[in-house]
Amino acid sequence: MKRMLFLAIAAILAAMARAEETDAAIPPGSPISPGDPAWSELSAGLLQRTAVAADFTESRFFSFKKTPTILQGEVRVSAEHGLSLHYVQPEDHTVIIDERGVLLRSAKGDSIPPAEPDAGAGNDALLHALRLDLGPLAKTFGLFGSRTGAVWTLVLVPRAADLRRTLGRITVGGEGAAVRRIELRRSATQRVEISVQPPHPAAPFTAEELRRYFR
Amino acid sequence: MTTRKRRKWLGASVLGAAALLGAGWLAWIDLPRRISTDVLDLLPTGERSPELGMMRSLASESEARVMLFVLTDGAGQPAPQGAAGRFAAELARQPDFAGARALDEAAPFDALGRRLFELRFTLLFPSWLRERAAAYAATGGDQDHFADWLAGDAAARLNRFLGTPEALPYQDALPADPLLLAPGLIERTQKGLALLQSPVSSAIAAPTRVWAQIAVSPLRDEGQQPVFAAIEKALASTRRVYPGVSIAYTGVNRFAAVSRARIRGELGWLNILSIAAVLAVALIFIRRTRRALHLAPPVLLAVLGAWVCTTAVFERVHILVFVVGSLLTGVAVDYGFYLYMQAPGSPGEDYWDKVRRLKKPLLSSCFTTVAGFALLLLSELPLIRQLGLFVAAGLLCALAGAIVYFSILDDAFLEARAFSGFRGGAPATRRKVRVVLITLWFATLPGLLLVRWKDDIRDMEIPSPSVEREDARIRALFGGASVQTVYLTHGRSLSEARDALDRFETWLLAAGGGARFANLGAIIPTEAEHAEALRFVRQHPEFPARLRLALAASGFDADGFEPFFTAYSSFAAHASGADLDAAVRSLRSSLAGPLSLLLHAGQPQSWFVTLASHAPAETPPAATQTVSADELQSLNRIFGRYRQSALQISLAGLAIVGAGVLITYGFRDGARIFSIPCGAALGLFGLFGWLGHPLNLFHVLGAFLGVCLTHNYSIFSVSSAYRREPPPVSVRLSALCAAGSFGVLALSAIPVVHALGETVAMMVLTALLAIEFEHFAAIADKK
Repeated sequence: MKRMLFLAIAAILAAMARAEETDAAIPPGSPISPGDPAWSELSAGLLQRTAVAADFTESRFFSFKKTPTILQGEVRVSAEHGLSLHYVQPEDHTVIIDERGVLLRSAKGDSIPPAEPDAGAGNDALLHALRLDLGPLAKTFGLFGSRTGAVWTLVLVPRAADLRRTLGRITVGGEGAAVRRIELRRSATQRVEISVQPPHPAAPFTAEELRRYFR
Repeated sequence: MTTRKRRKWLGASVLGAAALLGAGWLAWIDLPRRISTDVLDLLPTGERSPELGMMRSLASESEARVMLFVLTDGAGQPAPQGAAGRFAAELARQPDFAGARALDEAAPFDALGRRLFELRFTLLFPSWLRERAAAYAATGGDQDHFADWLAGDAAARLNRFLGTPEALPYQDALPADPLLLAPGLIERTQKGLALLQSPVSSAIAAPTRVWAQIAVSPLRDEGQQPVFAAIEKALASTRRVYPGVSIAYTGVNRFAAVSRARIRGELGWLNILSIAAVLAVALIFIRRTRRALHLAPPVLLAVLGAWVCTTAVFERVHILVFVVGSLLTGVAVDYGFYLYMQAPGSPGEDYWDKVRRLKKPLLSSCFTTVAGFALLLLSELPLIRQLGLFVAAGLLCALAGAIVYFSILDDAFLEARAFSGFRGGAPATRRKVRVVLITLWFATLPGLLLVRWKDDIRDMEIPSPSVEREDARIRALFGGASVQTVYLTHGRSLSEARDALDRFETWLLAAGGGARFANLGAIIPTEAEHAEALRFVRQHPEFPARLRLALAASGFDADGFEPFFTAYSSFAAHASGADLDAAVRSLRSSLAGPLSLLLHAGQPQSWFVTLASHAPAETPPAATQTVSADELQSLNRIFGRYRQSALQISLAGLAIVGAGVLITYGFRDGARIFSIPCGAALGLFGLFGWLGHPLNLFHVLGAFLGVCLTHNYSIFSVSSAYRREPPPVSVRLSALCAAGSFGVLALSAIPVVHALGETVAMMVLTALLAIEFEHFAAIADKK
C-alpha cells in the first residue's frame, strides 16, 4: 500500500502542475534520419568520449518574469552513468538523469521528483541527444538538423501532440564532439537555455566524482 | 396403564417433544448465517476501548477489504498497463467490488490533484500562513507590518523557487500560485514521500498492479467465493483483449477462505475421532456394548440443547464454540455413565429410588459446574460468553436428559467388565506410587513462577504457509514490506482528530529517533489555522496590492499572476468557517484507491492515518488520541487483557465450585475433594512452566473446564469411598473418554484448540491417577 500511496501523491502533485497548451515554433534545419552517415560520424565521436565535464550557464525564461533566472554550474556526461547537472549558483544542488529516471540531490538529501510520463520522455530524449543516438529518438521525436563545418544543431520535435504541448522542443547544439548548447523551448516566453563552456581536459571521473554527482 | 408405564410414556413424550422443538428451532433459523468464522466476531461489538472499536471498524470497513493484484503476461513479465486498466474496470463493474483501479492510472489522481488545487486557499493557505507567521515572529517584527513583510517574503521566495529543479515542471501553475502553496505542500511532505517510496519505484520494469476494494467484509461468506468468482470473470474478460494475462492476488478473504475450509474440515474429523475415542473406551469397559448405545441419547440431547440455547441468545456464534463445545460430549456423558452404570442399591431397586440415592453427587457436580461455566457469561469476550452458555446449557440438558431417558428403559443398569488387578498392585506399591506422585506434584509447583504467557490472535487461525508466502511476495511488489508503523489518530469529529494529529506529530518529533512520517495533516489544516487564515484575509485587505508591488519590485510581471489575484479576492469575499469541513469532505470523496484509507470522516469516530518509520518504541500518550494500528499487536494486547479477565472469572468460578463442595461435604472432605481439581491444575501449569511452554487464554479456559470435569470425578469417587468401595467404574470410563476426546483436540492444527485439548486431557489423566491411587482412602478409613 505504501508504494501505491507514494505514486498516488506523486501523481497528484504532477497533476497540479500540469501544463496548459503551449506552442512550438517551426524548427530550423532539415529533417534527418537515424541512419544519416554524417550524423553517425558525429555520434561516433561523442560516444568515444565516455566522460565529459564542463561549466554551464542556464537561463530560465518564465512568462511572468521580465528577466531570466540565471543558474550556473558544472555538467558531467558519463556514457555509463548518464547526465549530471551540478548547480552551484544560486543554490547548490544536483540533478541526475540516468536510465532509472531523475534524482535530485541537495544538502537535504536525495529525492525523486513525482513520476511524470512526459518528463520521463524528456529525460530519455536528453540522454540520447547528448550521444546523438538518433535511433531511439526517432521513435518519439521528429528529427531536424543542420551542420556548418564542425558546428551542428539537432532539433527534436515530439511527434505526439500531448508531448509537444508539455515538453515543447528540444535543441542540442555542438561543435565537433562537444555539446555547447541545449534549449528546452515551450514558447518564446517559456524556455530554458543552457550554454555549455568548452569541456574540461578529458579525464575519467574519479570514484569521488561518481559518488557525488551520479547514483 | 401402570404407574411405571405412565412414567415411561411421559418421559418419552417429554424427550420427544424437546428433541422435536430443538430440531425445529435449528431448522427454522438460518443456521449457516448464524455461524461465524470471522475472527473479529471474537471481539465484543460494544467494546469499551475506542481503539478496538476503531480498529474493528477500520479492519472490517476499509483495510480488510483491500485486495492487491499483480498482472503478468504469458512470459511471466509485467503485463501491459492497458491490461491492468481493463482488469480494474472489469472488477469495478462486478457488484462484489466497491472499486478497483490500476495503480499507475493517472486520470483519477489527476482529478484529485485538480480538486486539491481548487481548494488550495481553504486547505493549503492556512498552513502556509502559520509557517510564515512563525518565520515573521522569529524576526521580532510587529503585527502592523506583517502584511508588508509577507508580500516581500512571498516575492523573494518565488524568486528563489525559480532557481530550483521543481520550478520547471510547476511553471504553468505559478501564475495561480505565486505563494507556492502547492510546492510548499511538496516540501512539507518531502520526508513523507521519501518514506513512502519503495526501492521498486525506481525500477525499470515495474510490476503491473491493481488495487481493489471489495463491497462486503472479506470474513463473511459473501466476501469470499463470490468475490473469487468475480475475479475469474474479470480475468476472462481481460484475456479476450490481452490473451495470456494471468494474475496473482492477495487479500484477507484468501486467508479467511483457507482458514474457514480448514476449520470446517477439522470440525468434521475431530468429531469423528472424538466419537471413535469414546466408543473405543466404552468397548473396553462395557460388557454389552450394544446397550452402551443408550448413553448416546442424553449426549445428543445435551448437544442439541446447547446449540438451541446458544443460537437463541446470540445472534452470531463463532464456529470455534462448536469446535471446542463439541467436546461437551465428553462431559455430558458423565451423568449417563454415573446413572446408568451404578448397580442397584438393592435387588429390584426402583429407578427413581436410584436417582434419589445418587442425587447428591449428581446435582452437586452438575450445578457447581454449571455455576462455574455460567460465570463465564460475565466475560467481555464473546467467545467465552458463548462457550459458557453452550457448556452450561448443555450440561443441564445432559443431566435432565439422562435422568428422564434412563427412566424409560426397562433395565437402567449397564454392567461393566470386571478387571482383575486393576487397582494397581498391592497397597504398599500403591502407597509408594502415591508418594512419588505427591513428590512430583510438589516438584512442579516452582514451575508456576516460570509460566510465560503468549497471547497471539494468529493462534485462532490455522497457519497457511503457502498463502502467507504469496501474500508477502505480492505485498513486497506493492511496497508494503518495509518496516513502518501505522498510527491512527482519532476524535469524535474530524476537527478534534485533526487537533489531536498536531499533538501526535509534536510528540513524534520530540520523541527523537529521527521518525519520519506521512499523513494528510500536511494537506488538512486545523480549525484554528483555518480561522486564523480567515482573520488574516479580513484584517489585511491590502495584502494583494502589497504583493503586486513586491512582485513587480522583484522583477516579475505582476499582471501575469492575475489568476491568483482573482482567486484570492473570491476567497477573501466568500470564505467562511464552514468551508473547511466542506472542503475536507469534498477532498475525502475525491480520495481514490489507497489514499482513501488515510482519512475516515464519520461517526462515532473520525481518524487520520499516519505512516511512520523509525517510530519510537513507546506508546503515544493518551493526550495524542493516537494508537498504533499494528492490528496484530493491538489485538494480541487485547487478547492478553481478555486472558487476564478469563483468569479472574475462572478463579471466581472455581471459588463458587469450591464453596459448593465445602458446603455440601463439609470442610475436611470438601477440601480433599477440591484438592484434586485444584492440584491437577496447579501441577499442570507448573509443568508447563518448567517446560517453557507458553500459555494463552485457551490454556486458562482448558484448565477451568478440566477443573469442572475432575471435580465431577472427585465427587463421584468420594461417594464410593464413603461406602468403602473403589472409585466407580463410571469415573474411570468417563475420565478415559474425556481424556480420549480432549486428546483428539490436542491433535488439532488450530493452536488454541490444541491448547485446550492438551490442558483438559492432561488434567483429567492426572486426576484419574490421584483417584486410582487412593486419594480418598483417608475418607473411607474415617467412616
